Amino acid sequence: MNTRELFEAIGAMDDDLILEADKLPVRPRRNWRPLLWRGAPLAACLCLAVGAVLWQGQRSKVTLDTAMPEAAAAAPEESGQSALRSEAAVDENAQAKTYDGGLSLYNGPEASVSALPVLLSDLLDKGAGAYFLDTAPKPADRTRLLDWKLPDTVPVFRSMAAGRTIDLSGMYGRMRSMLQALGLDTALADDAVYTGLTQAEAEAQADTLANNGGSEGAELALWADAGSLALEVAPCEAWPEGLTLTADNTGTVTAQVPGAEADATRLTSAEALAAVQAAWPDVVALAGEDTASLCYTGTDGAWHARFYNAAYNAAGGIENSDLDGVELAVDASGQLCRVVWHNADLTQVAGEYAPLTQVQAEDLLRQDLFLTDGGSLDGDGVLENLADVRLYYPESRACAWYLPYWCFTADEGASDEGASEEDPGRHLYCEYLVPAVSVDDLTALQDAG
Amino acid sequence: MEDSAIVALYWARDEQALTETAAKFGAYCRKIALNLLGSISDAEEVENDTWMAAWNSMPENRPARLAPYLGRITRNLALDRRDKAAAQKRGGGQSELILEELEGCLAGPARVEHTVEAADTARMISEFLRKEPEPARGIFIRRYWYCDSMADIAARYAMPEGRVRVTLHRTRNKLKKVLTEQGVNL
Repeated sequence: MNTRELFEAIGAMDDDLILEADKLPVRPRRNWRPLLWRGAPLAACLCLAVGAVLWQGQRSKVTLDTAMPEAAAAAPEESGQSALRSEAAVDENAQAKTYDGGLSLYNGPEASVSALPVLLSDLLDKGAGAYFLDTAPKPADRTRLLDWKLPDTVPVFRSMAAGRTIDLSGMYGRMRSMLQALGLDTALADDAVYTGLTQAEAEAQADTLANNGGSEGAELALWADAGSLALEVAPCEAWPEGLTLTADNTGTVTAQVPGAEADATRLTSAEALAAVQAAWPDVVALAGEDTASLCYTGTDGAWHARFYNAAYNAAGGIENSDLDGVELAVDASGQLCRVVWHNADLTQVAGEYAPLTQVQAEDLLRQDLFLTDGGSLDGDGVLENLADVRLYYPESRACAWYLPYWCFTADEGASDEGASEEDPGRHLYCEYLVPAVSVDDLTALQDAG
Repeated sequence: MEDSAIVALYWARDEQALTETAAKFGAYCRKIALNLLGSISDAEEVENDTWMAAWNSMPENRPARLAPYLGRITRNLALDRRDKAAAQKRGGGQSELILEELEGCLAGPARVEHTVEAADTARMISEFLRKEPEPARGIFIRRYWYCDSMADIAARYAMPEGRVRVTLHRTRNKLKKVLTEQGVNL
């Protein structure tokens, strides 16, 4: 059998499989391997405090019971739906108590890899994919604390989903800004088509979800994914292949050249960064006035130039480019082929809180008090195999708050996954996140509502 | 209009069938073709060719659901066009990447095939995919049936592209094992 025949055989698969795959998937909430706790009151309070930042407005709040750390989430369900219930059964042997707690959860049954955000130019220029870096050096001394002067306080932001509104005018406005940055007539946005729920429909579905015991994470996901605008720009002089634009309810706007793929085979990181900065200053400017830049190999093995507003980072060294920044990718000919503009509303500051130090975060890590998107190590293992440490605000769609996290990236060793004959020495890297805000402050956050 | 009604128009040789098909499935087939070919003009031509091929295939065939039926025609026509374009050294889209990836499912070089084996292979692939959990199953089908780009799949499933790649890699490896055990890869 040759590949064409296999392609045709795949084409002949059963109709119901084909049709099922055409339905929009139930959007997975970001999965983090559930926070484990072993009865440590500090950690349990952390979970409950974060978990208690729940229903707003007309919703009833889950009572925070810091005296009973085991009164937390029920055992995880196969479907990945989790709930923080104030009267969950105690299960002393439970390995995983999932909770939503203002964080988005995703149920991934298999270990997964995540991108290694590489900032070192020598690594970037190796040309390897971000999650399969074959030559990533192990840091010389990982017991050394980062030479950062942490700010006195770091902000925690109320998320857009927590607002529980469908911001259609915002979507149109952001789409117009993107069109303008791409050199197109902003009036084209008038032809964008909204697909999704109305405000009333979303509220009704949210009520139904709440009445049926749905988790706050599921409800927030409903709002995050309630609807989006889509626009097909016809081929024109500026964009001979046309463009597909989408704007969703979390502030993200994407522009994609149909059929184009990001490429990293012909440009070094410096070339990719220089190319987009020179050719698309208006797009870069979407990130803000005082842009700082990162250029890294994205999870698809291609160069992505990412810009964020350095002045906005109230905490100085804490990245927020997942929430408020712009990412550009170029194709094999160095042409811009994709723009993702994260434009989360970061004006709703819930409070400013003292950050945990790296030592404190590592302490929690050693107690297995972390979130991981598929990592397989325990806390000690993470520190023994540490490849990178940073502070950042990760992208979270279905969450109540945007929290800063200490992110420990572990090298989980060589793997056949993704290895090729050309590059057999690839490794897997996984992130392990510890909230960078203290328990007491999260309790205060919940009280603030 | 329901699929069955459209099929009835084809069987009655009523050209309204083509209008209804284009209205209901135009964007659907065009997207598949665009995914494979990367060119809007080529995709539109393949779309038109699809309606002609559908017209010529009915009666004789009476598909229960038109979307997968037409999608199959589109996929094959798009790849035929890609073969022609490759000969002329032009073209883009996902087709090269997809075929390269599918090579990983095969154990060795091609050999002479019998028609019946293709149908058996399709059945094996269906059975294999039914045992795969979501989202791995959906991701595989979006990539190798709908020919979506990695970026589109990542957006659809709200996951990083890296995870899409790893998921596809694992699924292809499992499929290869199944095809080998079933005697397809020899």
